[in-house]
Amino acid sequence: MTDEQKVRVLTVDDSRTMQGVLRKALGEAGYDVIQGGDGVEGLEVLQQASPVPQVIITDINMPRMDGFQFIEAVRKLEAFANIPIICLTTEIDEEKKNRARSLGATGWIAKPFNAEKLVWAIRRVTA
Amino acid sequence: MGDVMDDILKIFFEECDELLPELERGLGELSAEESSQETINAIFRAVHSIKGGAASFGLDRLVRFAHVYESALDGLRSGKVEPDPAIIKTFFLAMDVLSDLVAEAKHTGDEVDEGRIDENVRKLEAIIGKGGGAPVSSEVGETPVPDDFTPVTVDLGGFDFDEPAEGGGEPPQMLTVTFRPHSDLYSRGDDARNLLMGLKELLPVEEAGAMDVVCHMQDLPALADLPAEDARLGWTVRLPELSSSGIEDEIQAVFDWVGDVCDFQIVRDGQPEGETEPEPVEDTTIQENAPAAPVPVEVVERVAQADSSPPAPAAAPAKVGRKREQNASIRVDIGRIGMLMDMVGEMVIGQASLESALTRDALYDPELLKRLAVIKTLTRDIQEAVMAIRAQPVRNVFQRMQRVVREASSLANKDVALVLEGEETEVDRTLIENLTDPLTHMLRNAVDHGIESPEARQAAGKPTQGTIWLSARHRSGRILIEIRDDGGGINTQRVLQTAIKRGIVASGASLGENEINELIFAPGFSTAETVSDLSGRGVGMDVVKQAIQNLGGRVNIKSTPGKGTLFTLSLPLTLAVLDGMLIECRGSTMVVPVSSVVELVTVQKKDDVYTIPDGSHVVSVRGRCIPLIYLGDELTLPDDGGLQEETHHMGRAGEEGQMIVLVVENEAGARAALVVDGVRDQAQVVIKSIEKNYRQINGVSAATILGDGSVSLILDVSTLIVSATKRVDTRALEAIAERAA
Repeated sequence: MTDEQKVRVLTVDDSRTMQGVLRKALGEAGYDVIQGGDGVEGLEVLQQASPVPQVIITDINMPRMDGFQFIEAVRKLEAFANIPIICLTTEIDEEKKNRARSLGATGWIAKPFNAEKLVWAIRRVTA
Repeated sequence: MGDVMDDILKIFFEECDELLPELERGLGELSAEESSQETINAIFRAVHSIKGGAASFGLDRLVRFAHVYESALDGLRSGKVEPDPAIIKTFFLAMDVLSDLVAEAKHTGDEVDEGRIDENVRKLEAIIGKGGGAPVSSEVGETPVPDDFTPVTVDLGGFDFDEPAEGGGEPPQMLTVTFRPHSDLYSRGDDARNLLMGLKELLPVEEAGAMDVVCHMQDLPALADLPAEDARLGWTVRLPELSSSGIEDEIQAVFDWVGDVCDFQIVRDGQPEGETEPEPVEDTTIQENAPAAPVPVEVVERVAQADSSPPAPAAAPAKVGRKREQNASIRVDIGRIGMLMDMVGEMVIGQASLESALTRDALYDPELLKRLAVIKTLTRDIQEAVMAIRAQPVRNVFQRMQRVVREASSLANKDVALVLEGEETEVDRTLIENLTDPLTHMLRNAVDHGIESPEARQAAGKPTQGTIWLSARHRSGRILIEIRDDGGGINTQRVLQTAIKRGIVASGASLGENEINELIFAPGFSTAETVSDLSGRGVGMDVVKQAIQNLGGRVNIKSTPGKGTLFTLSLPLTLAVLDGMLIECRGSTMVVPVSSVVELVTVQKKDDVYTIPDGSHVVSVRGRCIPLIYLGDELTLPDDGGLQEETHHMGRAGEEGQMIVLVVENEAGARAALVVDGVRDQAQVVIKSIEKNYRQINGVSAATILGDGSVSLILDVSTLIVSATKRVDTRALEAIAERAA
């Protein structure tokens, strides 16, 4: 499979471990993975990415720019207003879920995740 | 596959090594009442990230503890728990446990005692109880009780999508799912198509045809009247319930994300219409209205309603603007920098050799030399820049000392605060790595021997809490690290008595205060009456001194009785280059580290050099007798042929004329005088390991390449001194000194 055929996923997480796990899990599932180390970096990667990722997976709890701010910022950019965003986080607080949702998040997966669940989620929004 | 996982595990441990000091720093700020919400967030995030990463590798013990810890911290984060000293102490102790659990997982530490974990968990749970800090995270639907937290290890092995969904012999029951998305579903990047695909995927491929889909289009107005962003379609899907139980939950899961922006209903055949399923997922609102009924929802209104929480605090664009400068760092493998460092070293050598060629008569060309000067400047700049890359702030090592002091003081029943200064000071990475052990030992010592017991302090009119200051700063191309305590100072009488008892000094010796203080660095010295748990770990200050010396550093002590003790470590900024004095000896050029040179003197062979009874020679310099080392003999350098006497250009004791001696000192203060033929230059040289390429040579620590391309040995002054002084009877030295005086 060439890279052009692969679905491109942007993952935003401040934990390098998590980034490594995501890179491996998604890479093996046939995704083209690009990454950002926090919201700020995620935005930068997103805006410079070519081709544009088809899904964004973001952590919530991050330094500098957290997941909420990141989602809000992405939705403000016209080009990315409708790109699916999945939150991948350990937060299971209802209030936080609702907040992410109201800011424009598409879905929510609780950590620790398994690869299958994640792939399912991505397929779910990119079908 | 194993390799990749190993790599990620390595990343995880590296990350832990960064997160733990961050945690410690945060807690430090918290206890110093300098904390902000950002500090608390950082503390929380550190534990949170460790937990998250650990869960990916099934490090259960670590995960479980981190989870309780995180839950307790969540109370702090939400402001329900006030960080009083007792709570901060609990957090500190928990951090130590966490750090030990990481070491355990890394196999660099012993297994952490279960009792200790339990004790800390109890303390943390008490905080959780106090602040109602809800356990922060676990799998959805799991009971939020820490003990029940079971991490799911990422299964990276096989992506097995074949759910065990074999049906029984009975005809499958049919389910009817009706749903109608709101326009918000689309604006959020989702699509009704995704939901349909999601449902389809619930069925095995060969059964996919068993799904029946009907689209409800009755609400669709004429095209001219159709608002482009409105959602007017609904669907009814009928599918067989193949697996006995799970499918309903799976259908719920498909709609899990869209509960608030999509009306949906699951009806089992035979179930009365309108009776909805119990609500299994918290936020999934199951609307009772029929799927086809219009849902009068204004987009604007919904957004306003849904936004129950305050808007994100910082405006994104501002953040984006600011991050440009913050983001200016990348991670580089240390090996690459080492390589760069080596290449720069080679460049320095190459350029020096070019210069020496251009200054030779045949090639002399002032114009070329002028241009070479530009390259020379650039080379030096590059060298400094590369060294700056390797430089790291001493912060992490310093932070680690907080724990050392905390543990040591609790073992010694003392109350000691450690104040860090100059943590930003940058030092070469290899140096930092090698500093941890000596510093640990010195701080343990300061707590154990420096700071008095609270009672003694009170009696002396001091605050019961002792203070140790650990500071770092740059001074004239070296780094100075000071360890200062406000304890009782060094008891010189006791030190002297002990030294006499141990046979380190003669009983009649009269020593100055500084010399007595220096005795604590003597091998085998320990003044503690009982060997305590702390400092008496079989390592003395002599080892500390040796370690510092191996780094090219020196240790000095200053002690004021009743007021405290100050240890000053002076270290080079890097281990890659060295300030050397280039000396000549029997036609060879050698390098003596400038740090160990005391002075360069010319002595009268006849009057200043004495032969002591065992036949060796000593030289009197400023009233002090110093063993003389004939460097050429010591290193068994090949002589130029001829008689022994003539091989030494500078001759021997008893002859007429002068002799150049280089007085050198090791860190223990022992001196020797090296007889050299001349001094050529003083230069910065690049250190090249000999051991790595050849083998260890006594008296030589490393090699370097000089400008003319020749290899030159860097002398190991301390081993030279040791071998020289071993031969010389110190009593004989004293006798001669007296006679000379």
